[in-house]
Amino acid sequence: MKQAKRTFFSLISAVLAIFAVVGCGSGESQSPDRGTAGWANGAAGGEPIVVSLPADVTKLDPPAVSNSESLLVIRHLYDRLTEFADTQEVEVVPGLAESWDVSEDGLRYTFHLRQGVTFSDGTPLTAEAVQFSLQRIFDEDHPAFWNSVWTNDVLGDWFDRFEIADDHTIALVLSEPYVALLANLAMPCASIVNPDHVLAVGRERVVTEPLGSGPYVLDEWKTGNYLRVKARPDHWRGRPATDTIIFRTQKDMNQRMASLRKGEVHLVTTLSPGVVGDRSALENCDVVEVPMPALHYVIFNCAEEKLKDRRVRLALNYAIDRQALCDGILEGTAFPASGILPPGMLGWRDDKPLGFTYDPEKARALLEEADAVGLKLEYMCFPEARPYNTAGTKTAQRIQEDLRKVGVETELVQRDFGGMLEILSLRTEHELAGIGWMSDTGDPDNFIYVLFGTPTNRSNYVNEEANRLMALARTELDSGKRAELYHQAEDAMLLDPPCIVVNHANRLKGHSTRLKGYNPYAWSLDALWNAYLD
Amino acid sequence: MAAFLLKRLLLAVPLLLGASLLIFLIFEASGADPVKRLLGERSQDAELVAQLRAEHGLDDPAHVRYFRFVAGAARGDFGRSMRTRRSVSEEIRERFPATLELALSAMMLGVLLGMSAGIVSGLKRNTVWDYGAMTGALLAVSLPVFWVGLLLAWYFGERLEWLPIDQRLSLKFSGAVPERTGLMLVDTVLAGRPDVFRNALAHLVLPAVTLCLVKTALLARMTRSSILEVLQKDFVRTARAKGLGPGRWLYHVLRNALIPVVTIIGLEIPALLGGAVITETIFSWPGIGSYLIECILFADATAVQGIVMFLTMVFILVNIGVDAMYTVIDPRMRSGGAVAEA
Repeated sequence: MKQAKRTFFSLISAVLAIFAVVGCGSGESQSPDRGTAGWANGAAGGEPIVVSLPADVTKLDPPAVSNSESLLVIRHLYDRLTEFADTQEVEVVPGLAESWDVSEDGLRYTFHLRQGVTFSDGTPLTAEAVQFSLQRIFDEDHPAFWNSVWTNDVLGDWFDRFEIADDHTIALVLSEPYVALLANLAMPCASIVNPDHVLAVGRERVVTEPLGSGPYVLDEWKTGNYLRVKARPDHWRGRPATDTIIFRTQKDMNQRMASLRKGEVHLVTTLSPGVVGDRSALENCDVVEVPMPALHYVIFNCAEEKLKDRRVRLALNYAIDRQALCDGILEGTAFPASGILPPGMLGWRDDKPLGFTYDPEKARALLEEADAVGLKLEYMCFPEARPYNTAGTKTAQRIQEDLRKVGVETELVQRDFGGMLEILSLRTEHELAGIGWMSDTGDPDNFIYVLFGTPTNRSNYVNEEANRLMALARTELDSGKRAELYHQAEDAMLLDPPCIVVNHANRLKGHSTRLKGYNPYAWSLDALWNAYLD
Repeated sequence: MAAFLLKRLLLAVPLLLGASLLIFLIFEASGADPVKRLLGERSQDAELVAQLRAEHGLDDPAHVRYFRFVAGAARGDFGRSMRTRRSVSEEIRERFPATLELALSAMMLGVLLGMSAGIVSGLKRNTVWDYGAMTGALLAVSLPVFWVGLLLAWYFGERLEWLPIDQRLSLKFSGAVPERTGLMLVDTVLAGRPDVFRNALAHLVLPAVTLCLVKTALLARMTRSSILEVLQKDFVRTARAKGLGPGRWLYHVLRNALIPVVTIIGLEIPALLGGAVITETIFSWPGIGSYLIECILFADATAVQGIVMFLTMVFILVNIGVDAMYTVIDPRMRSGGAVAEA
């Protein structure tokens, strides 16, 4: 018996010893990543910037990717003909193309490439590489083509041919004028790849072995853990301000916030108000609200008999108290939408004459006029947080209450997001459904047209006047006139609404106060080549 | 022994086929369309949906897709993830060592604590030791893993800041030791880096403790009841009546009492490998469990089927290994038929 007792106590002692050993090392673990000393692959050019991502980077071949974490890394590994400026308003600036000319008919865009640009393996970047990279986005016969969300969006519908004048001049000839082209070319999916590399390793391997001309090159990638990139001193923009950036996956929101507070990470791309708490009490870090080009809306099935009358659809829009919804449920991650286009986008107006306000009296009057008092509708919603709305179900419940107050009964049907999309794709099985959109390009064409102008839109919505105006806007080179056309198109839609507009969204972004040289308010994916830790 | 192993391996073939069919059918029955989930808001582009379905072979009849899956799995090729375009086998190869390290650590900790508690309880029946250990075991088995994990992470990780709560190593040590086995503790020892070893161990403590709690409790209770049963046997009573000291009879008690416990350990190892899903997710442990969750959320059919098939294979192989171990522990098991009773 004594022996058993001895054995037991030695086992307990062994366990305690393990904790003691770990405890000794816990000085490091309290602040595991603080400071520069001890970086195994630390860079000479400053302390690495650590970016915390809410999901894994999945693929690094530009046209194959759609998740924002991968696109953020791609933005640093590759260059594009044009770039989005690091500003709150959408602005397209020169990238690999130092300038471009547009023909008078708007059909020919001639890009003049920078001289002396090379891929990270030293191969010169030429007009052939540009043609190769852009053609593979939409041309099914291209040896490195990917079917992806970009296939029909970037160039497909409007492209006619490429014309290469010399190594540094390439013209894109369109079949019809398309003004959003310059913004489309600034998207990460339109990054320029090295054709020799893609053809040598095959497209499947480019996913994990990227080779671009960007300011950074891939150094190490541990999937599900972290991805490290190293600066290229010979990049055409000059040596990036920081030599190493580490993109770390932290799926748990609390962990992301805890790491930011401790100084282990310097930039957190997505946070929620719940984990941030009192922002004024934050030390060494800051959390900012960045408006996103996004809209959460409840689509109507306009082919449905109960929703054919535009007065009913107008009434539903006037019945919603958006301010209370945003203040109460969405806690600073959203602000009321009075129209379709989000702030910062061309065509957005603060003072829309036809913008929706909360007016239950007007809603009741419209419903009475349309003989639709006591209307019953089915309302599909989803529980998952999306960038444009972090509380889909709660939002739906709030809207349901507001509608009840004006005499419209709704039955909430909750589906998981994927399941809801499958039903919506049938275009016949829904009456109301909460959904949303976030623009990829910041261009109104990628917003108002994609949502309600396409022949297969989920609302079964046809507004010929709006469609005519949007078609004109796509060809209008003068941005002032173009904005005016979108004002008119949006007005036409607000008179005959395809949806209940609910809210635009803010992204909560956290950053260390030591992080300098970048604009936390930029609407597009962060550009960190000028960023450094003070 | 060889004949026994061969027989078990041959029996594993229909088992695997059955399991593969079940996995495939469950996914089919779920009705989830991976393409639409992958495209999200953009799935309104019907043309694109059709193109992607064709590219991933989702338009083929179910039996064609099933045979493609089985043929691939037989070659160790589980296809490419629809979401990441990476080879699922490669993903498994990269992530399995993390899961294995966590499962083995949890198991070792569970065996160490569970069996110790069980032995003491059994030998000191109805004493404060017994009541204490069994109350602890009852608590451990009753508390849900996700709750315990979150609580430990919050208290030791966020409040006291004693231990790290995500990943396997601090970023500053990334790439510090060459990857030889993929087991971080072993690799750091091989590289002779005690500082990195301590860091890796610190990262392992909370997930391993979370994962081992239920197993510890189970083993403690099993060991206790098994010891109590053996203590009633005639040979023990005789030995004690003859005046033999505990040093002499205890060995025989333990040897007999631990046979069922080894069964449980054997069954629990594969369960730990596949069941670390919640723990891995809580502690952002980059193993197969957290990867599986991600693939399920995206309805990444190829990856989910591949991972589940792989885990089934591991389960079956470990079970065969455990059965083989019986023959070493208990000579009575060496005759063929008795194995089935185990």
